[in-house]
Amino acid sequence: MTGGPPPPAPQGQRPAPDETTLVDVLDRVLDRGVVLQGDLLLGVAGVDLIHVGLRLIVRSVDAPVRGGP
Amino acid sequence: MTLQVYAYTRAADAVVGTDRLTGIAGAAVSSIVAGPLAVVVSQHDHVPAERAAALAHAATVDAVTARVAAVPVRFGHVVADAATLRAAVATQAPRLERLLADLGDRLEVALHAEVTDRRPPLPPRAQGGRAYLLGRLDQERAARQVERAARTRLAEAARTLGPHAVTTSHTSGSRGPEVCFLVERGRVDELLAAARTLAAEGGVRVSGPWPPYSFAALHEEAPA
Repeated sequence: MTGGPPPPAPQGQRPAPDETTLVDVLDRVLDRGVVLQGDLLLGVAGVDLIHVGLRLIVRSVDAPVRGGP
Repeated sequence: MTLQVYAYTRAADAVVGTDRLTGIAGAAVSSIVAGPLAVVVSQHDHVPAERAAALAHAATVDAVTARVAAVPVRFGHVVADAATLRAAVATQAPRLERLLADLGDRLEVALHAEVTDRRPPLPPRAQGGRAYLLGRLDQERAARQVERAARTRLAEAARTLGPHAVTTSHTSGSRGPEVCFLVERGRVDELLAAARTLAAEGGVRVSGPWPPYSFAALHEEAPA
């Protein structure tokens, strides 16, 4: 059984990915994909902090809830 | 104002890749041409640090990749303005062009190991600290055994499905080990069918096709 709702469908361009889960989508967009390194890119101070903050905030929503009887 | 970056495409694909697309918070998506490349962006006063924004980023990258060859960018990648973006791209243009050529008209399919938590329970607190630590050690050993078994399953799957793909990448997601396949767009259905046959035997789960996130990395040049 897959967890979480499927991501929003692409903008009418093609069918949603097969057996996609919310966690699979977030794994890709938060941890993978190209990033240009270097100070030239940091036009706004604290971009790295924002990026790390985004990961923490978005991930924490998906943290499994433990406990129970 | 900042620019949210979604993907890199060829400059020739700038218009087709972004025509009538919307991105995070419904912002219009456009392309900024930087030499032989184009950068897919949207403009924002503030990029919200929320799941909805990350999912909107994913959907936009998905839509662009469905139209043209593209290198997906990680979510949260923002720049101050077009001039800063062009300057950054200029320093990495040769690598980005090579990456775009390598990823080309290719997508990603992933196999995920289905990992069951079989860790033994910890001893009751009354047994004291030593028993607790030994219990934690047992749990760690069990977790490593499970992961080794999962990676073995994925390695076997990679050997079986490898002929359908350009290349593979072994990695880990939030739910455990994965093997990702970079596949020609025209062979995605073939790989998916083979992967689903394998998944029906149990132990693995299929996802995709995705934009080739797991293969989109700029590596340092090897010394001459």
